[in-house]
Amino acid sequence: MVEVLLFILRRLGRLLLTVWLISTIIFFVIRVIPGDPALVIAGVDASAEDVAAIRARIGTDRPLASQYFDWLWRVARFDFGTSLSSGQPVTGLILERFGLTLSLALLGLLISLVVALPLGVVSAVRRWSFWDYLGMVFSQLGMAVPSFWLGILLLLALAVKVPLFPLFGSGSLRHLVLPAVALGIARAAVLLRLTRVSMVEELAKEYVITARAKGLTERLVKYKHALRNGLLPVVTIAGIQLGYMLGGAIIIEQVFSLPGLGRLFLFAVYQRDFPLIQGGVVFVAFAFSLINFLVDILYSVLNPRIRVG
Amino acid sequence: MAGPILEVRNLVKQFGGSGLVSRARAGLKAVDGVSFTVTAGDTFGLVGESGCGKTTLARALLYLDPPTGGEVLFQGTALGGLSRAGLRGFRRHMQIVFQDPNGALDPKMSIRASLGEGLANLGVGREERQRRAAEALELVGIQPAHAERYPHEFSGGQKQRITIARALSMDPRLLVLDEPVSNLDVSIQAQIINLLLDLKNRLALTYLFISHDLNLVAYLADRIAVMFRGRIVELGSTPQILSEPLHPYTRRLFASVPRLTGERIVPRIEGDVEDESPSRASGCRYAARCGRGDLACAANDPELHDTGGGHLVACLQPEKINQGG
Amino acid sequence: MAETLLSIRGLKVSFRGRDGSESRALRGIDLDVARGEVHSLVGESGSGKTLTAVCVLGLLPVPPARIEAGSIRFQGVELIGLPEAERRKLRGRRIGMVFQEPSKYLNPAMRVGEQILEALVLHLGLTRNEARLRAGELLELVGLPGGRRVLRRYPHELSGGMRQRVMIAMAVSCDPVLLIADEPTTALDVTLQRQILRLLLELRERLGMAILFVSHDLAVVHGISERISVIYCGKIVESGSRERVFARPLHPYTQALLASIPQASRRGTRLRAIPGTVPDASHVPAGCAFHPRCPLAVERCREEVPRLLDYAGNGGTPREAAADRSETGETHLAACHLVGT
Repeated sequence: MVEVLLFILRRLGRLLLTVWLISTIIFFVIRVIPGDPALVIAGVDASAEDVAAIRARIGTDRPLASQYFDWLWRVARFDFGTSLSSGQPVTGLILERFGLTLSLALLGLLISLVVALPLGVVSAVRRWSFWDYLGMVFSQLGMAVPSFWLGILLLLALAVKVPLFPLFGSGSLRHLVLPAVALGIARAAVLLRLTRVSMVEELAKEYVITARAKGLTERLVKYKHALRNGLLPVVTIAGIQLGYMLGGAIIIEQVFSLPGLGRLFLFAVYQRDFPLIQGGVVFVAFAFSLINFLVDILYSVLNPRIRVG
Repeated sequence: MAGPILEVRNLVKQFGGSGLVSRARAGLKAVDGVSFTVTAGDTFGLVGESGCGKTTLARALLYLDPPTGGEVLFQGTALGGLSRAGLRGFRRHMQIVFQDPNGALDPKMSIRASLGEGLANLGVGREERQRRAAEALELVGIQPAHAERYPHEFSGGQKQRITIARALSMDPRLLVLDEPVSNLDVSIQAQIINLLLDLKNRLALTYLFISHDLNLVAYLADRIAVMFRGRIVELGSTPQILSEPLHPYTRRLFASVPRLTGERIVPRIEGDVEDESPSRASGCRYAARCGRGDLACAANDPELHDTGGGHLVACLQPEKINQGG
Repeated sequence: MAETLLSIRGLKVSFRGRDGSESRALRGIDLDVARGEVHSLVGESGSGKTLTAVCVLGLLPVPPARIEAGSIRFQGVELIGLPEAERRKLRGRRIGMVFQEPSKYLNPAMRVGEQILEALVLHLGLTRNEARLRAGELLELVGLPGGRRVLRRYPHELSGGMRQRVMIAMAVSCDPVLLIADEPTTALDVTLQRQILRLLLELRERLGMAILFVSHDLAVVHGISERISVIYCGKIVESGSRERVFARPLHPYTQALLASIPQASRRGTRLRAIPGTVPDASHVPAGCAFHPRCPLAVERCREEVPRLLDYAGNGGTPREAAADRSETGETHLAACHLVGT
């Protein structure tokens, strides 16, 4: 029990360390780049007063150390300041959009798992069969085809030609289906490969021989014994993929005109809305690390050998 | 040259713990105060079961994994006091042959390159290296013409010969052999053992032979040390150990060894249960398994003492032949 | 003479390599195991001993391997060609198997109890609760008291010796009549090894099962066997009672092997090593496979494969090995042209 708690604590520590590191890096990167950020924001024609005003707003007139600690303190409270372009609190802006992006990512993950896992397992279990070839072809295509192209294709087919789904906007689940499919297919291709390889490896292991030697049916051998070991690496990778998708499937959001985090950050970069950029980076880093943390925990639940370390 | 070639005094190898969880393991002494002397020209056998520390000991006394306490003297010189360069110079005199020839030979290097590596590190010139490599290969029965080949082109027995040749090319005085034949087929083991004996005689080598195979050690060694959980519990000449094992663990070990003669094993009597008890913090570390101990054994950790004629044992109640058990 | 439980005759198995080459892994195995007997199959690595055990269980991977010829009769029923569903009923139920490295042969992600339960539920139709009770009993039987606690553990939480006992418990759970043990003690320390061997013998007494013990270690085999068969390059070269084979080995390979093993009693003498190396299954020498390494080889050995003949009766003149050993009394089989010369 103690070991489990220590394990969780260590993973938590790693999470916090990552967030701190990212916050520090983004802080220094922006300030270390040659050029005064206030000038960059104000633009070439701004007057000295405007620049000074901006500088006061973003706080670059204060000593570096004080700025840094202030920044860290605010990060800890999830207060990323005020967006320069809209005047609204950064945190609020992010959270507004986060729901959408999260739903998109989760749906995308679900689709990819639903496609990849069964197909991957069948591919491994019946190697060189029709399903296996189907899986391999699908996996190759899925990896070769860019997701935005697929997105556009889906729009054309299922929103224009046959108006099954809405073209743009947000607000209902139906708006998310096509973008999630576009996202999910690319991920599925990778997961399928991984599942197949992992299952094939497991089926070659010695404990499978023992299972057969006990007279277990092939079904039990494959789906009760091999599967639980074979899925482990897939769980980890799927979790990481979820993290990526959260970080902003920017292109997909653009293609489908979804008001998600990705579009927000793109906008922030164009506008040089530097509190928003900072806040965005830290937020994404945090979300990603949190997911990794949860994946680690899940993995340790599934793989009893890891619990001690 | 007679006299001790290797003296080990109170050698300790402690593994540090780091981080929260391994603090429990911090202070684990894989080798806990080991002392013995190896006479030049002898074969010194080190036996014990897995986890007793024999491999750690071998690595520590060669300074591959330097000891955390105690001294190692090679031909009178304390290795601990040497600089890195000085130690490198001594290394050539003490070579090691490992159990797995596959792990010991780099599959991407030709045999010639593998053999020459150690000498190159010592600054030996190319011609001299090639000469020695050829010599060493001949000594172990591999044709020098095959030196251009790669490890995978040889059989298991041949690969082990090559690792022995590599050790020999350094012109050592002492050869540490850690389970050198355990991975080989039975019919090949005898070949390698005979080779080792021949080499010992021809080149006047001294062997420190580590093995879990008691029959083999009984056959080869002049002196035997029995290790248990980081300590030597009994040490003596082979005839002494074989005819009159004093430590209960030694007795148990030798009684368990399968033999080619004698009676069949008797089926288990009820109660012969899996023993997993860890060592106690104080007292004799074998007490939990011993079955003969008493209060004194639980309280005192016995030291090795001489019972006469160079036969040492670390036990408060060593078993005599005419006692029961 | 006890009835014959397992009878292998002329078993030939070949493997097709990736480059299309054929290797003759088993070149005609003849082996009998009587009811309740401890029979050891001794050979070096690559000799085909594990493969033979795998064939008995019917776990041969059929491509790339192929059974070319022969028969395996178990309790009178021919196993080769038996439908898989029937074979599966035998595995784990009438024939149990123990493997060499329990850390690899146990499922790391499944509790030990579950791994024992499965066979009980499947073969004996017990409910899970009944099976759990029985599993606890089995663990006690193999020397792991506190059974219930152990049942909940994962394999990596147990020591090597405990894992091996778990494997044994799994193998004997349904009261098999034949236990095949493939090097069950090779990976274990000497003291543990002895405990496990004694355990196997006790289980044999209690459950009346026969043991086919596969090993490369002649000394271990000497300690437990009643009968020994020596295998070399996919063929049985000698087979007889423990006393006969160790005291008066007939085949030069057996003789050479026994002479080459280091023992305390041989201190000071040079070991009589067998020259050369064990041939690979894809390059088995013609005639008697041992002839390149045999000190006694003559012309005939190079040309003609020796048959396995029985030298136990009639003052040493060989006769054909009988189809059913239980009818003939004591036998001592050897496959060599030069026996007695």
